[in-house]
Amino acid sequence: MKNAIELTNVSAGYNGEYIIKEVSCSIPEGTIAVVIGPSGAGKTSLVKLMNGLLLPKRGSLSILGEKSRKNKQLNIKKNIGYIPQHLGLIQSMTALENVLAGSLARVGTWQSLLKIFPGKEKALASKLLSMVGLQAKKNKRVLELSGGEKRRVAIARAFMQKPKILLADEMLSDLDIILVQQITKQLQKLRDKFGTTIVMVEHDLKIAKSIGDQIMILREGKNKGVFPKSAITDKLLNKAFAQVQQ
Amino acid sequence: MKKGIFYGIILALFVVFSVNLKIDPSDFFAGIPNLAELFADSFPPDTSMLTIGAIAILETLQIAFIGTILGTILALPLATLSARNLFSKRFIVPARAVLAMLRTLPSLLWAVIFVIMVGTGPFAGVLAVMMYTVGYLGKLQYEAIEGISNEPLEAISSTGANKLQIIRFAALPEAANNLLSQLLFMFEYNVRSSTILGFVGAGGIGFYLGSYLRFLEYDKVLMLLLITFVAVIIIDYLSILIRDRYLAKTLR
Repeated sequence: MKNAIELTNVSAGYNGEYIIKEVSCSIPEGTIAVVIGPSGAGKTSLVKLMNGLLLPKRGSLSILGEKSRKNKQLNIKKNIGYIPQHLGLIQSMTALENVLAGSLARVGTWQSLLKIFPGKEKALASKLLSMVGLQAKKNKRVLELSGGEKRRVAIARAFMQKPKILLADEMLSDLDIILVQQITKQLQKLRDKFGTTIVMVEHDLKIAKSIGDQIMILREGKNKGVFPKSAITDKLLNKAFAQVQQ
Repeated sequence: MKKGIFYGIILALFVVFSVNLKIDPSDFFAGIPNLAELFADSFPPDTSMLTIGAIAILETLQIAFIGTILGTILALPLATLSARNLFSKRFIVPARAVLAMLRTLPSLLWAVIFVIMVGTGPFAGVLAVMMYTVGYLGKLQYEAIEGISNEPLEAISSTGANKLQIIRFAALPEAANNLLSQLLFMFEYNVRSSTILGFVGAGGIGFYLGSYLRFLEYDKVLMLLLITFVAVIIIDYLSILIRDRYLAKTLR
């Protein structure tokens, strides 16, 4: 199976300080990888590395078969859907406009600057908002939505890109259990139908176990182990997380 | 200890500069009778100036309005190029240099330049207001853009959007509240500064203020100042209404 993401001894950080230290891992195409670890472990930085928002200082990083370099980033980025930890939504824009922003790479520059989006993009955006239960609120500005609703808009925006890779930083926080189940089902559908590779940062060990094909434990910027789904047990997760939390 | 030294230096400079400029507080008190004479010559204000003053202040407001709008339109691209979270030093350094140069001259000196260039009248005033607005507002704008959170920029950038799209869909919407507030501030500032542009022939109420001051007709000057005062109060009030209406909406 080909790897969608490959890190080989990657170190990266900010202002001369390494946040990610010699991390190696491979995430096969069409799988769901869950990254867990304590606060400050470097999980968000790892996701930013995969998204090209942070460049490796050492080691090599390959995304969809391409070595990550500054000049290739734009090409890679449009294939990667990203849901940041604090969502990165534009508060003054409506839910629909935020979701449409996910199609910017496909829409002509001057068209998009005038906010003229093709009919098929608008239809897809509406459909995605329906999927996350926000069809009735699509014309409401994001600042008027609740925390959980905002999170759903961010998820719809990421799906709007029709991504080959979806990177999600604590995507399922603030959502009720029914919505979590709906969205995890959607993620699995995405993986099964389109072969989308999904990398999620997650705190909830139950969700990590239920959805992850493999689980990576990150601690102090280092990879402390990658466990395939078949090896994942509650005992293992609790032990690993307890070790991490010590 | 360090704070004490700092305040000591400030105080020392204050004293040295005051001595150098021969600032003597007793001159202020000695001049109060002169002020009393000025008030006596000014009262009552000459109401025959009402019509001329109203027309002139309208011209001033128009100069300030057009100059502010033109200045804002020109400032925005320069401000965007000057923002560190959007562009590299290659763009930032020259863009900020242009804004700094434009800011160096106050609008009155710009007015002198443009009166020489295009002749006397409100067009010179508009150009003067525009130039200063570009320099001053441009700086405020890039500081506002730099102050936005990184996450919306990262999120839109992650969609594969190009630079123009990131600016259109993340940077400007996120900075919009601050940009509007600064625009209103700049307009209020320009209304005040435009009142004296007429001193150098650049149109508006300043022409009459300068003329009557030279002829020592203080009652006419007072009337014109009162008209200016009322206009500025109205503009300030309208600005508050706009801020309350628009900014309040975005916070609800």
